[in-house]
Amino acid sequence: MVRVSPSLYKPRTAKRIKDAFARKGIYRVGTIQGYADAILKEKGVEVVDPMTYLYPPAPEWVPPEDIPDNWLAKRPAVEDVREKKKVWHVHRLSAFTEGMQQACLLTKSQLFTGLPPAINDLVGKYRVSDQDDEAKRQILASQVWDNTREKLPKRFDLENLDWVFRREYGIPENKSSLILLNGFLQMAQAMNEEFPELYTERLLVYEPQFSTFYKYKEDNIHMACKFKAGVMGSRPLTPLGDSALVEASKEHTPFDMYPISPLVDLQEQEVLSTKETHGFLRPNSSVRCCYPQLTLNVFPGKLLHMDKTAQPFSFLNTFAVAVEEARRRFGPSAGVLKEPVTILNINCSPLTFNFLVVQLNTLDFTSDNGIKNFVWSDSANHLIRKTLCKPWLHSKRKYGPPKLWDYNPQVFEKFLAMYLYNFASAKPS
Amino acid sequence: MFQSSLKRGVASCIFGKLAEYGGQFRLAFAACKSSSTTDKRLDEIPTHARRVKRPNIRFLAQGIDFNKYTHKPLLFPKTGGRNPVDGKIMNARIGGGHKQRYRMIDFTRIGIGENKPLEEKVIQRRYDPLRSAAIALVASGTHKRWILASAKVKVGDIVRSYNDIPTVPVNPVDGDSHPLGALPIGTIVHNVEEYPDIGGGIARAAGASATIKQKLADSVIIKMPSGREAKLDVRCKATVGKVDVPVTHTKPIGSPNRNRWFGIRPKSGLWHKKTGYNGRKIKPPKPMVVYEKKTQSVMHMFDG
Repeated sequence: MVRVSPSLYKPRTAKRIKDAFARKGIYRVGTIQGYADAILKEKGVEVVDPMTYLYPPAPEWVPPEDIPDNWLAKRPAVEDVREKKKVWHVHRLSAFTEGMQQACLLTKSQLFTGLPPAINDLVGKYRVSDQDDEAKRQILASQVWDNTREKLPKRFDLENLDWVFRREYGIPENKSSLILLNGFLQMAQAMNEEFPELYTERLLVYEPQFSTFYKYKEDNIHMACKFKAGVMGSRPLTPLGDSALVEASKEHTPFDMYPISPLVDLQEQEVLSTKETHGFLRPNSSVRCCYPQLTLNVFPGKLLHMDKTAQPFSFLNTFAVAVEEARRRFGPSAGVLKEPVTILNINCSPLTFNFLVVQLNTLDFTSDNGIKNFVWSDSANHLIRKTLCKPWLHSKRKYGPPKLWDYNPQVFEKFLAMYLYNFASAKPS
Repeated sequence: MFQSSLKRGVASCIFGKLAEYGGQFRLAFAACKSSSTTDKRLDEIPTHARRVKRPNIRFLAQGIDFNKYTHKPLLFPKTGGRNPVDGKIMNARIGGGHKQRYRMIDFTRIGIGENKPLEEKVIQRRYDPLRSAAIALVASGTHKRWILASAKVKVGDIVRSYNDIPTVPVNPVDGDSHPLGALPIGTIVHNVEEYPDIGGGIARAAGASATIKQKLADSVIIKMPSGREAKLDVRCKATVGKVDVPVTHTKPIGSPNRNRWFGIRPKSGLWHKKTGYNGRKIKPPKPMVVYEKKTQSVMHMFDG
């Protein structure tokens, strides 16, 4: 059996019919056979029509005429046997109505503004070679030099609301701040030559994460933390507040936000009780650098109230790391700790930097009385100011590049001081 | 004012008739069953992703439960002046405009106990795209809700909702809520209830207010914003002060095109009255309306 092409099997009849009709009038169709067909038939071979389907399609589905009444009815509920906890979840984008004061209530801590004196003495003492120029290069890399050209959100200007901006392409804010943070970390790592301990006693981890619960006055608070980077050390950081300050915290009166509860901005959820994961916090014996020392985080710059979103959120997350670390070292129900746990945090947007120092003194969160934890907060340090183009001011309505001005050199000095704490002494360089 | 009244009409149409059209929605969905997009069961598709081929019932398909209160703004699909069920034109002057979101507003102000008021702190004040009045976000405990903003209430203030009716009238504070029987004569109020504990219904527009004219034994007579008088129960609650007008409403619209941003289309101009001859005439006030629940026995029907 042979299957030949349509032109060989059957000649094209349309043109012939037209010609024949013009010359001879009526023409009989189907009498003429194809060349191959005639030859093959002479040889005694069976020929199949090539226009038929090799694999014929399925017939069309016709919906049933009578729709059953219970087609929309719900399925029988299956009982979930797994253990669940009712928790208050801290979400990344939830704005805290009272800012850091509210976060302090949730963590039973006392708030100090500015950096602690031990770190403040380190500011400006040590310098990387070509520090300011190098920092400016990192800013340019994050704002201008990077090759990404992604679609940016359409912007508007309060000065001229009628102006319709055209589509712009560039580096998105989240990526920009990540490039800047990486650049600053690399600059800080250049101090390893001066302090060789940093080579052996430090470990940089990217995107560390874990989740934990802790109890706040009969309510469970759940946090799923994911930082952009974390710095681990071979030994814990020395505490910044001395024992006299810890004793004096007994007399501290907490912030009053009556009639609102501090839990108002958290999300009420039900999560599995097995949701607690230790993540990057590993037991002491497994690795050399296992003590968390510094956590780094990034936020988009469009959050208008950074003091109400970014800073409290990173405080709570860093606090959760400290709680988990304290449970690991001193046991889950340790009460007042023999040795406070200290962890630093840096969070930034493309243009601003926030610094945090958390010192965990107690794991007792049942009441507001007694010894408190400490937090030092230094927020809204502007690194650089950025003005975007205003095309209506230009004679030809041109879109120029953005202008960067008012560089603040103190921000990287603070960054370096946070990085070098516990490794460098406050002597003049 | 006009634009917001248009919007309110559409909003009331959509949200008020949800229950009525529930059965129709089921039929409509059954009709769309054979389409390729609805192969899955309705339960399996998450609520935000539910799409039905007919756009006029898309909002109902999302399955928003209006009995559960949330302070989060909800999606508000545009009607284009069409009826959401049959697709016919309801109002030819609605269409287009900026995207808007619906915020649920709690008109009830109920205290905790007989002598214990509910205290709430004002977190935020803002303008609402779907109504003329300004709204305020208040919180107490772990609960947040939107209420109508009173004119003199600022961010950070504490507003109280009382239940009790003392023998001596109280000293009214702007933003607080009392039963009408507790307030002195001449008090300016807004968000007044027609029946006790059902939520305010009178004087809710921007700048609107009612005044207490007279107090009787079991009822109070107020003057409504229309000028008409109403006789209400003593336990009906009202909020002291006027409704606030947001800053955006005090400014002129400025250009005809800006009116389109609010979703209002231009008038045809064909049937306009173009002279002052067709103005409003001074009419005598309507008779007083009495809000009173009928408690008549059924047995009177057998008396003949």
